[in-house]
Formats: sequence, structure tokens, C-alpha cells
Amino acid sequence: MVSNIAVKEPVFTLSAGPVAVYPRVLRAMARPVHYDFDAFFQTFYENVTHKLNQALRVREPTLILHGEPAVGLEASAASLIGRKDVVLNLVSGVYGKGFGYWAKRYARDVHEVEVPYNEAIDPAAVAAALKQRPEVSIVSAVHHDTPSGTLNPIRDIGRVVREHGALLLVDAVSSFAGMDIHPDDCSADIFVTGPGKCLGGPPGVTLLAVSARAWEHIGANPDTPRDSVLSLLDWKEAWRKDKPFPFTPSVAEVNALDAALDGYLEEGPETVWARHALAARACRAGLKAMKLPIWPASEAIAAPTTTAVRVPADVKDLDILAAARAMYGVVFSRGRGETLGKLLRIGHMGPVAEPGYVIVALAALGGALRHLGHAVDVGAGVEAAMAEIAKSGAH
Amino acid sequence: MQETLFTIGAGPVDMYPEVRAAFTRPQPSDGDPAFLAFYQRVNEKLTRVLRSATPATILQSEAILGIEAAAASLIAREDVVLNLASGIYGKGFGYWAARYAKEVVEIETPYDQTIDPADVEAMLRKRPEIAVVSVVHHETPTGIINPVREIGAVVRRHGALLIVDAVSSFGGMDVHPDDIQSDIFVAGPGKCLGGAPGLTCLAVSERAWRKIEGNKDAPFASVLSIKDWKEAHRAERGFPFTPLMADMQGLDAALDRYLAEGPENVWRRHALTARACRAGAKAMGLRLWPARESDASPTVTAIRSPDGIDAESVVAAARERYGVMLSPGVSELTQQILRIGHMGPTAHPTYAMLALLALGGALRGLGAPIDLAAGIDAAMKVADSAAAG
Repeated sequence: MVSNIAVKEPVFTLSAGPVAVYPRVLRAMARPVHYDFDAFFQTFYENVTHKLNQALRVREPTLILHGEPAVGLEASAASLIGRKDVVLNLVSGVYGKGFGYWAKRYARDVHEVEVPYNEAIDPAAVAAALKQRPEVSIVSAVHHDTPSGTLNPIRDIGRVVREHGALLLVDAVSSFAGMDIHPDDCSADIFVTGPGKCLGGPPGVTLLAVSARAWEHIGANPDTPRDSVLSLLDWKEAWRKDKPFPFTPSVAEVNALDAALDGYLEEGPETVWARHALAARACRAGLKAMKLPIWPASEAIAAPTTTAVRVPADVKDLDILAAARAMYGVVFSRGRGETLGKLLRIGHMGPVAEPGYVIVALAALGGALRHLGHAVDVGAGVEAAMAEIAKSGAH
Repeated sequence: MQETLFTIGAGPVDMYPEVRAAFTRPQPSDGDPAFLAFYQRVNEKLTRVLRSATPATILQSEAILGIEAAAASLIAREDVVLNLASGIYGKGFGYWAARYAKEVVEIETPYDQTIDPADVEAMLRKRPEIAVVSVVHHETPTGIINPVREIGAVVRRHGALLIVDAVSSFGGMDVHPDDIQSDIFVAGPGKCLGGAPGLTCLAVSERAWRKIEGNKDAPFASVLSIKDWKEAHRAERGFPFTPLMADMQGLDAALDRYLAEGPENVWRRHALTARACRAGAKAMGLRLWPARESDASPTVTAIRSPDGIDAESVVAAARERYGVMLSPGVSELTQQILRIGHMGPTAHPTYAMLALLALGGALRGLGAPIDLAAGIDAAMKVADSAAAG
């Protein structure tokens, strides 16, 4: 029997992703599903890849893998890291730490530079680690460690890694398209992202930019998977309209990606990033006025796509979430792993990266806290956010 | 490039209108209680549709993931696997099995024939150490159905575990995991359920779960792990990674549609369409690919491309002239086979007639002697007899 558990749908999903999808993307998901060998679909797929190249600002053709970005990250580890490789994994959060376990499956050795999960990696520490271990052949880093809402200085890290000569794998799943970051900006050799965060699409595919150096390394890796969902090589040429797909692509997800890329390119990347940055700035200003400290050790490393706020000592994260949802229909995200229970996250991604949603988030968070007996000045928070929005001029 | 008007290939096929509409539902966050409850309900619905004693397991990528994950999770390094290959997909599974098994033995038939359960029985007697048997129910590239019930009975008597690829048969005919005594049954929404490709639907037996849990090489914290998703359907649990909300909503609508129409009615519609298609193809002067018509699938009709004519040219001409997309063969049989799909929304005799018209017209254009009128008339008779009955 199908159980009759039913839960009222939320009104505002302001989580750290997956986030609400743009209306045009939702409409695109209703496009016809074409046969994957149909010339129309193959041409369409090639065009989507061209659009993606344009959005990622790369010349090397990009790759679409047909699973959520967690699949793309695992596939990147499996494909790139060979048994002779020594990996330096940079850990400033739960996702960075998690990548290390995948790296260990494939590498000869994995070393780590680890900082507390509310801080960012210091490029000088990376330079020192590389000097100490010249044999490091691959460095892995998370640009935005979503469970902490913190950014790593990935451009500077990229420069250090390139000088040393190692390959750099960057997880930019929850930063790309919400700020000015592209594979070449940070000298990434594998740059992993997806449509389910700042592009405002569904989470079903992985978007990858792979450098010529990385392809060489993958080609020379005897352990690189083939005929597998973990293989990058299988998909290398699949974007060409005259090449077959290794297996059936997720047609509806590709239709959605196409619409998400159109939206991003038409609005203009700079405009989209400005919207994300403003939302996060207004959110932080509001929290400060409500005397709710953010999780990141400094505002400078706070992500423009997710604001992580510390859970006050006298309340529980789950109670806040439940109250915000029940009273205002607003959904936030909890922490994850190490940060679970310590912080709450307000997402500014895709369609919800708008100052108006920040007002909703602050009001719901403040109201929920007040309901739980933790005094906050909601009015002051909203005023501070409004002032920040006003500063940015006409929106 | 002109958009195809009618996709009548061997899948993916177009979605039912209600499934399309479901894809446009707003997308919640995967941690939200409403989504967790929704996921549990979809899983329960799927379990009911699969008629499975154990809760269904959904993996978050196209059904080929489920097949690779089944091999990776179930087959241990000490296992001897018997792989049954009556076509390209069956043959392909053997390569995956070889990655994980101690040894893979194979029974292979010509690709226009099916596996004989007596051969399976003989092999199991000869090699009693066989621990896992794998078979493809419907060989989509050749439109052939293996007698998987009989094979299941033989395998269960012997005691080995059975992996069944039912991706392109489930939902289009009467086949369910417990009926055929399978231990891992792999299906997906992108074929006969009339949904989109993007998910794998699995039924895993208690015996198989025990084997997977005892297999120290079974993947975990991996996209290839079935184990990671075992408890994910419980609303109080989280997900190993973000599930595909839109695809889950599409699956929900596809299952609703299947249950509302009634499984038996859906299967009848698939069978009737295939019968009309075969009658039409034969009357047009074409030969079916299966050596025996009784082995022909109700969800794909595979036709031999006439001598001297490449199947890909026929498919291209049908598309260009009539806006109809058919499928050629696969791999080494690409040029020899023409395939018409009867899956989900296209499992209707009118689609079969449309496909035959396009196929016949394209073949005629390429110089093959085709009696189009006789073909359509024969297909029509089958369709009308059912309507009258």
C-alpha cells in the first residue's frame, strides 16, 4: 500500500541547493523526449555543449555527465587519479574532507592541508606543502564548501599549483554561475559544476571542463575507467553530433540545461553574479543587525551563494527549521557532517538570488527564533538588509 | 535541423502528457520533509507496480547505471558467473561481470534466437559452483524475448542468484521480479512506462541484499553502490547524494498513469500494437528479425533490412520524408536491423501503422519492392479485430 503520509509543500525554498528552478527551465523539462540517435537531438546536444563552453569560457569542449555532480566528482577522481599519483587534498570543510576518501581509493598517497571548517585555505600553506612534497602530482580543492558557506581563494591556489606543475581539480558546484569563476581563472585542469545550484536548473547532470593536460594524464592512466558510469573518457567525444552516446543521456535534464544556460547568457553573467553578491551582502547585513553571527571566520570568505549563520546556543537547529517552515513556509538548510547542528544555511542561488528573498529569509529566521524564545530584533535586521539593497541603487 | 514529428524508435520514447506536466512541478529541496515524504510514496508506488516483496530501490541515473551497479555490488571476486548471451546487451553484460568475477562462463546463441532453459540447466549441472546467473529479458537491439520465467525456475532450483535486465520489457508486458524469481531486477522509467530516462528502478531480493552486504568488494560511498540507497526511501532518512527531483516527479506520474490504466490493459495495448506491426511488416514483404515469431517482443519489432539496403539510410529517409524517427540496429547489427518501438504512448496500433508507412515509403524510395497497401491493410485488420472484439 502507498502510505498516506503527506506534508504541506513549502512556499519558499531558500536552501543551499538544490534550489527552486527558473520557470523557463521548468517549461523546458516538458519538451518532447527525442530518440538519442536522432539527428535533431544530436545537433541539439552539440549546441548545448557550445553554450556550455561559452558559459564556462573555455575553448576545450566541455563534458556533460548524466548524473548529479557527486557522480562527476567521483568519476573525476576515478578517471584522473592513477595508482602512481600523489594527491594533495585541501580541506576547509566537509566536502573537501569527503573528496579525500575518494582520492585515497585511487592514489598512491594522499596528503592534506586542513584548516578549521570556518576558515579558508591559505595559498602560502599550499605552496609550502608542495615544496615539502615535490612528488605531488594532483591537487584537489573545493571552491565553495557549501556545508560551511566559505570560499577558498581558488585563483591564488591555482597559480601556486600551476607553478609547481601539478594538476588541479576544482569542485565549483555551488559557486559557478553565482560569481566570477571559470576554469581558466583558477588554472583548473578539471572543473566540476552542475546546473542545480546557481544556474537555477535541476540537479541531474554534471558539467565538466577538462584541460588538455588532464586529458593526457587520463589517457596515460592505466586504471582510468572505461565502459563505466565513472568514465570521463567514454564521454570525451560524445558532444559531437556525428558521435554516438556511450549510453542514453538524460534527455529531459539536457533540455532543462539548455534553458538554464539560455537564461544565464541572456541575463548576462555579470548581472547574475551581481544579483547573487547583493543578496548575500544584504543577508549578512541583516543578520549582523539581528546580532546573529555568521559561521565564516571573516566576511571576506563568506560565499555570495550561501550564507551560513551560527545556531544560537539556546536553540536547536531543527526547531528553528521546523518553526520557519510551519509558520512562514520557508525552507533553509541544516549543516552537514561536522557542521551539522552548528549552523543554518540560507541559499542565494539562481532564481532566489534576489534581495526580496533575503527579506523573506530574515523575517522567517527571526520570527522562528523569537517564537523559540531567543530575542532578536527582526525589524532592525530587515531595515539593515533594505539599506544594503538601497545602496546598490535601482535594481 | 527540423524537429522530428514522431519518435517511434526503440527508446527513449516520448513521455505521456501527464508525465511531461509532472516535470514542470516546482522543485523542492531534497532535505525538505515534503520531498522526503513524496520520495517514500513514490518508492511505495514503485514497489507496488513491481509487485515486489522487498521495497524497490531507485538509483539516480539512467538504467545502465543499475546494470553496472548490479554487477559491481553483487558479484564477488570468488564468484563464478553464468552469463546468458542471446544478443548484444547480454554479451555486453559479460564484460562487466568479468571485471568482478573469478570466472565468467557463457551460453551464447545466434542473435535471432533465445536462450533455452534446458541449456541453462545443463550448464548449472556441469558447473555447480556457479553463484550468479545474468540474463537480459528483452534484447532491445534485436527485439527478442528470453523465457525468463523458465530460466528463473531453473536458476532458483540450483540456488544461484539471478540478475535480470528488464529495462525495455517491464511495464510493457507481464513480467515482475518475484514471478520470475529474480534477485536483482533492473528496469527504468524511460521505456514502457512512458517516462524519461534518468533513473534506475531496482527490485533486490532478501537473498541478494545478504550477498551484497557480505561482499567486501561491493562499492559504498559510490555512484555504483546499491547499498548506499537501500534505506533512502524511508522518509526519516536522508539521501547519499541529491536525488533528481524532476525525474522523481516524472516517475510518480508515469506510475500513476500505469496504475490508472491498469497494468493488464497496458500490456494488452503493447501486445496488440506489436502484433499489428508484425502482420503489416510481413504483408509488405519484409522479414522479421527473430527466427521464430513467438520470440518477438511486444515492445520492439525488429525487421531485417532488405539485402543491399543499409538500415541507417532507411532511418534517415523515413525521418527526412515523413518526420518519423525509427531505430536502426545496434553495434555490429546496425545496418541489418530496422526497429519500431511500441513503448508507453507509442504502444498504440495507429503508431505502428504510421511507422510502417514511413518505413515502407523510405524503403520504396531506396528501391526495395514494398507492398505498402497490403502492409497497412494487414496491420489495420489486427487493430480492427481487437477493436471489434
